[in-house]
Amino acid sequence: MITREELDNIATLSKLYIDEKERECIAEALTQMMDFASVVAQADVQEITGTDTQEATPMRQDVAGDSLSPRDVLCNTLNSNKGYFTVKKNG
Amino acid sequence: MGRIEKIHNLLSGKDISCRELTTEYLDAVKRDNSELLSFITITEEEALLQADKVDSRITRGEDISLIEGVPMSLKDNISTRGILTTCASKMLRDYVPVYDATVWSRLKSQGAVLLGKTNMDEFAMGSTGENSCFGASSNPYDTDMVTGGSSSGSANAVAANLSAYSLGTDTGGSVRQPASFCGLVGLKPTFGAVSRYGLIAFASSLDQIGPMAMSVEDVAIVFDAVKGADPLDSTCNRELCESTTAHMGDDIKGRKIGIIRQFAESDSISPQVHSAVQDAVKVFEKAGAQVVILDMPEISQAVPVYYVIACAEASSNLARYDGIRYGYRTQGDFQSIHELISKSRSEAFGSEVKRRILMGTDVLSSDKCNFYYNKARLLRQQISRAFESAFDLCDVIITPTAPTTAFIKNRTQNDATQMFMEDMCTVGVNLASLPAVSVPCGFSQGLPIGMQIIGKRYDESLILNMAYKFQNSTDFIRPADWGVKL
Repeated sequence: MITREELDNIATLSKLYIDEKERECIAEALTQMMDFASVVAQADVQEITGTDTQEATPMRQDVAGDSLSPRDVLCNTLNSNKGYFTVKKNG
Repeated sequence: MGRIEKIHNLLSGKDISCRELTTEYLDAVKRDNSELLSFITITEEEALLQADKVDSRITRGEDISLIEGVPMSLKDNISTRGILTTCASKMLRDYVPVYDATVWSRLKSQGAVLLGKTNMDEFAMGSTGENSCFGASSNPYDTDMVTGGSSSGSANAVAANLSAYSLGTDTGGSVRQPASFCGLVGLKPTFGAVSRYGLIAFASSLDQIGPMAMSVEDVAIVFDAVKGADPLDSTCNRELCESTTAHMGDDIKGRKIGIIRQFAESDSISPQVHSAVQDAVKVFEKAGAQVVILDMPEISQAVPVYYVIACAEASSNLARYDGIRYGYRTQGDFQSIHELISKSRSEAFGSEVKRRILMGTDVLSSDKCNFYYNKARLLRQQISRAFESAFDLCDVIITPTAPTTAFIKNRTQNDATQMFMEDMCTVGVNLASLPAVSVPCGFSQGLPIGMQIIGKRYDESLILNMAYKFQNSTDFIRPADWGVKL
C-alpha cells in the first residue's frame, strides 16, 4: 500500500490537494493502479531498441503570424485588470 | 442508403427544408435529452442560422454537397468558437473557446448543421459515460445500461436518431467501444489522418477524432470531409486526397483476415461476443476472404502499457488547468499560489481524472520513470512492430470491439482497474497508431455486439470496404426507437 508520505509527495507534484475524507480511497486506488502497471516495470526490454516512429518531423517556414488578442486571452478568466490576469492577495 | 444521403435527397428534392428538418431534430433533442443525457449544450440558434443558409442556396438553385444541411453533433472536447466546450468537467464548465477546431471549421465550411455538444466522460477518461459532471448518458437500447465511453453522448445521440452523425474522440477505444455498445459504426482513424488542432488533449500521442454514424457509408463520407493535412497540427501532415468512399464497393475475394489467437482464446471475452465475431468472420469467408491465425503474445501487455503512457501524458496535458487563465478557480482561502492551484484543481476534477493524474505523475517521477514510462515506450514499440509483422501475413485483423455488451450502470467496482480491461481489444490499435472501425455484428439479450476491423496505417479505405461488405450482407444495424424518423 502506498504510504501517506508517498501519496502526499505525488499529490504535491500533481498540484492536487488530497482531503482526509478521500485519502484512504485514493491511496487504495493508486496502489491498485500501480500494481496493475507493475507488468511494465517487470518486463524485460533489453532486446527492444528505439522508440521513434518512421515519420520525420515535418518542418515549416518560421514565419511570424497573428497571435491571440489580449481580449481573447483574457475572456475566460474570472479576474483580470488592465490586461493582466489577477489573483487576490493572500492573507 | 445511409442517413446522410437520405437527408441530402430530401433537401435537394425540396421534400423538406433544412430549417424544417433541423427543427424536427431540435424538437426531438429537447424531448429526449432529459432521459438520454446525450447533449450538454444545444446550439439551437447556430443550427437554425446554418440551416437558413443552406435553404437559401437550395432556393437559388445551387447544388449542395452531401454533408451540407445534415444535422450533426460534436463531442464536448472539440473546440467550437463562441460555444461552451466543457469536457464534461467542472473545471471547464464555463469555458468558451476563442477558436474552432480544424475538424469543426472544415465541416462548418461545408455546411454542416451543429445541433449541439455531446456528453462524455470527463476529459475523455472513462469507458462507461458515467464520469460526466452533468450525469451519465443512457443506452437507447436499454436505459438502465451504460452507453460506453468516453464518447457516450455522441454514441447515444446517433443511436437515438437525435443526430445524423457525430464526431467523437478515441484515445484507447472511446469511439469504437460506445459504437459497439450502441449498435453504431465508429471509426478511429490512423493517428495523423485527422487534425487534432482544437481537440482538448487527454493523451497527445494516442488521441484521434473519429466519426460515428448508423452506416459505414456515412462514416466514410464524414471521414473524407475532415481528414487530411493541417498546418496547425504537425502530426497531421499527409494530404490524403483519395476518396475513401470510392473503394467501398471493391471485391474482397482473396483478402486475408488475421485473427489474434490471444483474443480468440481469451476467457475475458464473453461467449456471446466470441460467437458473434466467429459468425461474422464466416460471412467474410463466404465472400472469398481467407483466415490467418496470428500469434501476438505482446498484445497481453497492451492494457498496462497503454495506461502508463496515457496517464503520463494526461498528467502533463492537464497541468495547464490552474484556474488562473481559464477554468474553475476556488473561492476558498489560500496562502500561496500553489495552494490556490491545488485547491482549484481538487475541487474541479472528478475522482477518475484525479486518479489518472496521480498515476501519471507517479510513473513520470524521477525514481520510477525508467521502470514505468521509459519501459512502456519501448514495449509500445514492440506492440507496434508486432502489428507490422502481422500485416505481412494479412490485410486486416478482426477482433471483438469490446469483451462484453453494454452493462448495467453503477456496476460495483471493487478494484480501480476493473474498468481498464474493458479496453483490452482496442488500446493496442492506439498504441500502434493504426486505423480501426467498429461495426455491429450481432445482439445478445437485445444489446448490440461490435466487431473491430483493424488496418495498416492510412488504410481506412480497406477497413471501410470490408465493413461495408459486411453491413450489406447482414442486418445488425437497427436504429433504436427514439428521435427523428426519416
